[in-house]
Amino acid sequence: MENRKKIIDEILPTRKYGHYFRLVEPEDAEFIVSLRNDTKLSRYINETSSKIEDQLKWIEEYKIREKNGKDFYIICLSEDTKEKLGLNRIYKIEDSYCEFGSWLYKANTGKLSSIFGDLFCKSIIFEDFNINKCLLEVRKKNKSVLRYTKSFNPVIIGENDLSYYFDLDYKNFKKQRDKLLNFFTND
Amino acid sequence: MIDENVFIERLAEVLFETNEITLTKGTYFRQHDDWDSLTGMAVQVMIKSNYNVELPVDVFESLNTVGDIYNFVINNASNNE
Repeated sequence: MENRKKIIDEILPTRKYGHYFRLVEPEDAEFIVSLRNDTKLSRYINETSSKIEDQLKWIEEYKIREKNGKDFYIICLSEDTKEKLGLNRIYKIEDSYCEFGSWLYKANTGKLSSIFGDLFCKSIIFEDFNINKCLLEVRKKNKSVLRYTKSFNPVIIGENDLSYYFDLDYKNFKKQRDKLLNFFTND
Repeated sequence: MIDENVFIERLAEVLFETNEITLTKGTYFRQHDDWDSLTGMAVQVMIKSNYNVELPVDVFESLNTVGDIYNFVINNASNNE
């Protein structure tokens, strides 16, 4: 298995699409708690403790998984002001498969930050980690994320009362990513 | 000429995933419960795809009603439907 920790350390921190990306650190605990406990933003995610110390403990345990190349929690900041904007997470990483989620961004960043963060992190999965497929869980009531996810033509592999589960492969991701980047940037 | 009713139907489909909800030019779309940046992106893509009009993010941020979007498209479309 490739050393994905080494790979991610060669990529992050970095600037891309007018944003700054790096791995989550303990100093981000308060930001994470504030996002995950925001009334509107937290409607479609698993419940999170509102205690900073609980988040610090979670980050401490996460850092072990990060060191082992199994879990990468990425924070997106404004490139110029370094304001913290949002989060993405690549986790349960195996040779050819991983899960992607914890996608949460402040409202009204005004820079399409959540989309650029999503595209940046999924590009790492497919193009740097050389992973063939990633699993996406989307809450059925989260209509905007569901529509966005479906625009990549993923394969639906399951569902329950709460969520749909999709497999996304590189070919379908790249096609829609390039279309969106062509639309919103000069890349 | 851009058909106002068709435009609003297309916008309603993007905003609410249905054309069964009554949307008017006076509707404040940002106040809808499901409004978020992804929905905003979908609006921008719809406008570009159907009317070949680019709606820059900073301009979009200043638009609040369906009529604001419609007027922007009308004023910036080079080829009407």
